[in-house]
Amino acid sequence: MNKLRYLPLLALLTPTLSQAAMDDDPLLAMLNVKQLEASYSEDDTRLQWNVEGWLGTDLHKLVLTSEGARLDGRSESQELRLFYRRAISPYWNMELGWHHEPLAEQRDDRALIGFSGTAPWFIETEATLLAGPGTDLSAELSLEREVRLSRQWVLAPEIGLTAHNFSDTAEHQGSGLSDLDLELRLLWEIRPDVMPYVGVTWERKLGDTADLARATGHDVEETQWRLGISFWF
Amino acid sequence: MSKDNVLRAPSRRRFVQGLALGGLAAGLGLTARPLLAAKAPSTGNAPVLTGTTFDLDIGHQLVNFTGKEKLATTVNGSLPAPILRWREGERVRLNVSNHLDSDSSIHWHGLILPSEMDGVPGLSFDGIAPGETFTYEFDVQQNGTYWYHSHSGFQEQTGLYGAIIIDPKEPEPFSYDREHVVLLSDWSDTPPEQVYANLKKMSHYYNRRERNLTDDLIPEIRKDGLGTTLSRRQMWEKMRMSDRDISDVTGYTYTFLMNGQTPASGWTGLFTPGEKVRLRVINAAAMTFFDLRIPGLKMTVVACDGQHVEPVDVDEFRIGVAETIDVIVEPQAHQAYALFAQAIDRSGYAFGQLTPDPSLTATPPPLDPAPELSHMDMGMDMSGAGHDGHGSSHAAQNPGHDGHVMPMSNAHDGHAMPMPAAAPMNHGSMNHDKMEHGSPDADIHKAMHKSMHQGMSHAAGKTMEPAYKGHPLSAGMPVHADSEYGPHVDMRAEAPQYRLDDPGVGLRNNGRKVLTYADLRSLHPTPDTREPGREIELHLTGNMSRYMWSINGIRYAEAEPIHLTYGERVRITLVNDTMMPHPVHLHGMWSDLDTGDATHLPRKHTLVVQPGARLSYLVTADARGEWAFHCHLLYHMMGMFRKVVVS
Repeated sequence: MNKLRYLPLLALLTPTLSQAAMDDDPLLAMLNVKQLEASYSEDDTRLQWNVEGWLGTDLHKLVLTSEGARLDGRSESQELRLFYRRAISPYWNMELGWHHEPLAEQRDDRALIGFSGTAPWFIETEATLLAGPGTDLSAELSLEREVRLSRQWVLAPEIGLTAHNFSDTAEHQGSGLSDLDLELRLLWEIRPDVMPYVGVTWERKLGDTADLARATGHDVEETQWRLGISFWF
Repeated sequence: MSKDNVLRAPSRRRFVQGLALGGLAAGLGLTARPLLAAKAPSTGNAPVLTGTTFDLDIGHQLVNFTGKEKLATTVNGSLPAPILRWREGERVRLNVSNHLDSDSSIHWHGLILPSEMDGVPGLSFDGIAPGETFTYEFDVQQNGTYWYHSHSGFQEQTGLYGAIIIDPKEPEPFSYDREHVVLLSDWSDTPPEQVYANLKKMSHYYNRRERNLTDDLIPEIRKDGLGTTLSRRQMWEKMRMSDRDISDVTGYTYTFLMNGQTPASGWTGLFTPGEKVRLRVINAAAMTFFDLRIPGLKMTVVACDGQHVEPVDVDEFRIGVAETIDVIVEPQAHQAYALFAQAIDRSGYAFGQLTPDPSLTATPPPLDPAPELSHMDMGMDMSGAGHDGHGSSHAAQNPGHDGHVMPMSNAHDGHAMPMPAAAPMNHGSMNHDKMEHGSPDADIHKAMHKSMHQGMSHAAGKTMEPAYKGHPLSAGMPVHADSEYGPHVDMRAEAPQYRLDDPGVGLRNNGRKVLTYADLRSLHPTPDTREPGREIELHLTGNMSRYMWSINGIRYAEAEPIHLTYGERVRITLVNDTMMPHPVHLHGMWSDLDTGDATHLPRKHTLVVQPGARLSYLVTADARGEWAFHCHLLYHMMGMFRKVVVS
């Protein structure tokens, strides 16, 4: 047997073995690529992603998220968040940190406070408030529940809502409820940590935001088909 | 120094081809009493070492149980580790050399010995550093079936476990012609650190039996209607828990082994028809409870955790992680018998056979349906909250759940009575309706419970070890310490029952006679008949979805030790505030399980506390030193652990 072949494996195994001796709460890291997808609308094909990485322990985590879309080789939207996530109850976490939109002209840096967790009926919930500058506030709510169709097929409906307390014509944002986002993905669970999917999403601008869009000749709603993969390690 | 088998050089990596070995490693059976010091034939893959001085070499070795070569942690190149055969009354010396490049250790599970020989790094000694040899030396003061394993890191998961047989000084109260060790374990190709990390990131990672629409819900809705189905599901959905959460780690990654053989190869033990065969069954798994039976054979249980019990005839028994059970079987026919050990969640099985002729083979029976948890397994108030204690067994037998009617109905299978198992009671003739929520007692009970819950436990401040009020065998109302509230604990049993006669989820009403703790009666009188001077109540706690485990909501790293006074008799009462069974092991001292039969309490080293249940046992603190006390599920142990100091 070729002894050398297994040396790297040994080296990998042993330090963790001894460290893990009595540590029930080791420092772990996770990269969760929730969505990495191609999205197809009437005229465009985009590359979109929603990725979360964390470093931490059972109750305390430092989280970095990135969400965005690229169209024709350039970034269309980008969002970066860095925050501290702390468990506050068996199923809920509080989040506190920084929200950054490099492409935004205003409000590119904002404070973030959020709650995330699992509501009864296994509804994965994220509620986030973005603050600044001044008294400008934006609120986001997202609810998702997995519906297991069979051992390997999972349907994941998601609903998202956004609201603002300010108007910004340059950014096409009106105050009040601004966006409704319905998403439906059908995931094929190859492994619990590798799931390719197809999906369809429907976004609708609401209220003042919709009026602003109409006034500037933009669509108020958009349907996209999505093909992607979700994986973590 | 006398040992019978030539030890393999530790550096040599032997290739154990689990898939191809079938039939080749037929166990001829261990030599029955009287043991001759000459050659002891091998059982499974493990050589038998006898005598009083032993050289054990811990090292790495390549194995192949799944078609892929992986590194295991072994003793003398063997998985399982060699069978150590000692004699009661002798002094043994074990030179344990560590050829790994991390610390190691060996703990002699269930042995009564000095604390410094117990092999728990950090408590008994510093562990065995790489390249070093530690010599264990102690008097063997007991007889029976035990086992040994590493107490360092996750080495137990990767193969460091083996059987110990101690031949008695006095003849045993039963006879047999042949014996076999049946050592059950679970193997994963995934490194255990990765398994643990997966559980922390996604606690249901290994549960492949979650309910789904096509296999479960649609058939259920067709049969019973949408309303009934929804009302059944809503409790679990609201609680964000799964009634199919039976095992944390399952056959999705595990290959279950019997004497180091996969189900595909199948361990083979020989017998001659008409012989009495003693099977020394050991659960050396890291995480798996097994339900063992031999279709066509009654088994007579003669010992549990190495200690003689009054013989009980059973068709099947559940063996918790780290328990040992000795049975005698008398196969008469010239045929092969299947030794079938299903994992508790039915995600797989360990398999072997007893055969008079290696050319005869047995086939494993089909797996039982996957079990489902009931309200009782959640420690719920049975008197008020709808009593479907038999939901699991009925659901398991009839996928249509016809026995599992509305949550508030009087469904009841008599297995969940809040009484000690030993109490005289006729389950069959009981008027179940009267016991249900309609009775005023139940309402009072509920109200009292509520006030206890809200008033006492919270007002009491930071009580680390909540005092238990009332008779330990009654279904008392638990007081949960403040430390049990927070993000680290997802459940507290409302009304934990003393359920010794409950065979457990998946085995209730299966038509077979299944061993329960209520069947155990020590063959010998209880050695210490003193009343316990005090009681220590400990709650087994956790948060499944965050994969955190603790005792009284406090993990080991932050816990104070439990102090026992040398010589005292103490009662330990465990309340399981989780929905899975925990095998709890106290090192260095016997745990006399309180069955209500005070003169003949069964002595155990590992006690399984059923989900949502209460269990009580008596301990004589007759061993000075620092001892470990913990849940023996490997991935729970680091948190669900206490140091016990006897001084």
